[in-house]
Amino acid sequence: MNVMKSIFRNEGLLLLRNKFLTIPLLVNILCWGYVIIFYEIQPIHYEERAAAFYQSFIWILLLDLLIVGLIAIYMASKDRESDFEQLVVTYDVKNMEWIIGKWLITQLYGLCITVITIVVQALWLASASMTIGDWFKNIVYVFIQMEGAFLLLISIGFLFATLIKSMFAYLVIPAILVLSLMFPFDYVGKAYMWDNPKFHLLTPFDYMFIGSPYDGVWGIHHVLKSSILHQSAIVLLGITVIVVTLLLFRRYRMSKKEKKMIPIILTVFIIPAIVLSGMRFMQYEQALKQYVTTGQLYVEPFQGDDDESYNIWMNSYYEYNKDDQPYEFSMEKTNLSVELQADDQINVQSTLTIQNNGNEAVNDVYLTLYHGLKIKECTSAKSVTCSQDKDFITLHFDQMIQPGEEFDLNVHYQGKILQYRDDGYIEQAFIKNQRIYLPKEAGWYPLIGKRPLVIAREHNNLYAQFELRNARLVEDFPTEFTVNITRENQKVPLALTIPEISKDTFQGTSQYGLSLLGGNFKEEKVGHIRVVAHPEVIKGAAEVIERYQKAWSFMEDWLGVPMSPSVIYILSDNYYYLTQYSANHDFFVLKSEYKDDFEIAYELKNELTQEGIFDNNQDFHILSDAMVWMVANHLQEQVSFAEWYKSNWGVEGEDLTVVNLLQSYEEKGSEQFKDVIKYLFHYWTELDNKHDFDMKAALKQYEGESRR
Amino acid sequence: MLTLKIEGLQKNYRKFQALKNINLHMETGLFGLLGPNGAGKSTLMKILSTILPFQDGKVTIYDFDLVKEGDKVRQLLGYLPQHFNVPTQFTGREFLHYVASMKGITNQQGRHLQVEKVLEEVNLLPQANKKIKGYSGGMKRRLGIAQALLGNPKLIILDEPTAGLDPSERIRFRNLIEKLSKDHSIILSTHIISDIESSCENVAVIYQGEVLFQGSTEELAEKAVKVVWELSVPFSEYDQVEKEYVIISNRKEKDRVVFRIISKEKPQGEVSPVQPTIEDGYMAVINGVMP
Repeated sequence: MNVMKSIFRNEGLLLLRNKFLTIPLLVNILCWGYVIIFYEIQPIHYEERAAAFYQSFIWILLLDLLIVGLIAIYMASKDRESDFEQLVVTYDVKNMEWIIGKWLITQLYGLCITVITIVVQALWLASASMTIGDWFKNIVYVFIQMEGAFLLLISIGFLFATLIKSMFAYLVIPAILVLSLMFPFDYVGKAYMWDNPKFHLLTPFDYMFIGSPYDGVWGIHHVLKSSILHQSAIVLLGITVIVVTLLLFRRYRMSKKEKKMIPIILTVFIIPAIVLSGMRFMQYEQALKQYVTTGQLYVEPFQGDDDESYNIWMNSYYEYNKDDQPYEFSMEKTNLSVELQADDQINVQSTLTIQNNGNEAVNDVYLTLYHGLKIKECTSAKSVTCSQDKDFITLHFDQMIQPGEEFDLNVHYQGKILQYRDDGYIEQAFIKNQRIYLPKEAGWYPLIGKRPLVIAREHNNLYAQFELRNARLVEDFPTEFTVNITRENQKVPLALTIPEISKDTFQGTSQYGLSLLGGNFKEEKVGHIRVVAHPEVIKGAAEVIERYQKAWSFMEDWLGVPMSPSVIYILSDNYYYLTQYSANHDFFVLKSEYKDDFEIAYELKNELTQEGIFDNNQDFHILSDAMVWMVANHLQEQVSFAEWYKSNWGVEGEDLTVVNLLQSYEEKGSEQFKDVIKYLFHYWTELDNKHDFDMKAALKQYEGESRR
Repeated sequence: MLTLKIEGLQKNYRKFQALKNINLHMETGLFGLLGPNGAGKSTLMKILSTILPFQDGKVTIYDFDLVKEGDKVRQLLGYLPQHFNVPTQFTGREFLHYVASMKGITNQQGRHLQVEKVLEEVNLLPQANKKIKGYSGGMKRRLGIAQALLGNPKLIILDEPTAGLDPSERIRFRNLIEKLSKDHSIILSTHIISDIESSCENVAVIYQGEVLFQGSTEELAEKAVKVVWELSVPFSEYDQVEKEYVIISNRKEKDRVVFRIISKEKPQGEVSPVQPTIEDGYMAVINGVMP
């Protein structure tokens, strides 16, 4: 032990005297200095400090891994290259003392980088809006991520420096890092058929961490637990690798004691390493399995036989996703008593008031509820039988439900709500200790009608053999909601898309529906809109929302369509993408980021023209652009529409015929232009077949009506 | 007890046979291992120092089997390699402390005493706190000797210790080795005859991986008895002599050249037999020109 200590101390002395080795430490300090200063000098923050930290952390860690890995190779091979090792092996020092002494000092070097990062993180996040507990957990997370990675990579460095006795050993570390970056091909959560998502377990940068391990109102809680397990396996694996290195280093000079001890140590570490790796693998496996099972439940096979018809069929998803088929029944009232249990379980007593708005009397009424939630009891004043098939509930009444008739239904259901998306990487619905999310898209409460919660289509180029997306869920009528929530362990604040009237009781009318959220958020009013966001981004969000509000008001006045939502959730990227298509004028989701006027204009235009976005009708696209220009011009004065269009699309000549036609109206004055675009928009809206939109014909009709 | 005993030692680097059936023994004192560059001396030194494993044969040092009891052998060894490269960011004293601890001298006081003693022995005390990168070649070699002396080894292996030293450093070094040989057994590997002729009693000649001679220095010189001549020729015959004979040395005398050559037969011309030296014996052995 004394010899190892001496090696550790003396190699440390050499490290201290090597000026080059201070460069990585300085680079770390400079990188973090840049990140922090760049963030802090902004007058308004659109993302949280923690989000900014983790976005940079991912890439700075990658740089650190490269540096520390190369230093490990250097430390393990420098004495062999300088022949000093030839001298050392003639001494009484044991192989283990020599290798481990140098390995430990390399680990200490890695620890210095970790300490720099943690000090930066601790100081910076001390000014962030999070509890001390969360602050500490963030530090623990960064520590285990960095130290686990360093421990393994340094061990790998020592192993390869022992195996490859030339400069080529230095290539191993960049090769490992490049491979690990390239390995997870599915950065967007869609693994191609040659890429098994389970293998991403072997890479330090799998999809889970590519964007950021940080999830806005849920912080890092979704990765913390699994990271501890993952990194524990990594630490054991790192020790196993260095023990293997000992086994391979100058075997002929191993002492008898080493010959006995090394296989024992190897066994002691390799067994728990395998067990923990297996447990971690099972986490991946279980999530992917559930994702695949879900997809298989919904997947539609392709019936055609050529690429063209396959593409048409895939694109028909958007048609199918409209959710624009009216249903005769409406959910008038929904009263829910929700018990949030441990392990993603919910137990709900619901009282639903349903009305027949159609002209016919029927015996069967349909509801939609996620298939993981099982009905325990289903009663009504009328005689009813409830049957559940996948996500659909059929209510069969002995007595017909007459047109205009309203009835109450009590449904008691219970089950596990944990759902995965994106190859099992994202939990779409969950109830955990520190974070809760039950989006409407998860189908966690009864929706009226037969509604697809998921659209999955056969896709031979994907590993899962299907493509899975959340379906768009748009209600025909608003519903009066009353929701009372009880919970076992969770203490996090809760928000719903309807207002909270007393502690954990929510009441209000919404045409969107219910999305329950629990985490580190703040609720504030911006104008009349309730904004639910991480406390640090409220100010930035308010600035963006005020500009949205200006655009919404303009569009409401101009086009006479409801636009301004009553509630806005600010969600992290993954959850924004999962939810954005279901948002309507009642409920809106935003990402934590700055939006310029055109981004706002495009987004609002898209909300109004969902049905036409993927049409190839050029006239419609010009109309869309005119609407975008109109909104942007309202937010901030722009050049003329034709000029803007030309510079935006780079077109000239005949291609501009229709644009010039519109321009002629702009030249007549802004009110005239507004009027004609409004007319064209309504003309397009009323078309049964949107592909038939013809600008010239529409303008001719406009002219005719104007004259009258 | 023999200091060193080598029986049937073989060492291969893939297909190349570096050492072929080496048999050697050494008692106490200073033992010289002579051979030209590439003869296999350094390979043999590395095997004896436990740096390299070998394929066949048996090596014992003070009756300890080199393969089975390598750790015990290392406790008896001091080694100075041909290329003495050490971390130059250390001072001489720091380096010796580091080496001492790796040699198992973990007691701080004991280590301090030993380090100071070897520094004094190699006359490096004044430069002990200077970084090694500032040392001259000779100082580095002395530091090499100092590290070999740490732990009071019974056997010191010196591989080409004087290569690259200037004449005054070389003389100083030889004196130091001679002094050390009073208390330690030393194996001195070299291709420079003058390094060993004054101090070694026993030598071995190794050539192309084989031991061609083992015995005393006198016996080595005797290998050249009756085959060493001085041949005086005009300058015009210089090239012809060079082609025909193994030349030990030559000198100019007026308009003639006097060669010291090895030849089994008496050469033609103005020639006289001379008394052989160790160098003559060495050249006779490696060139196979013996009576």
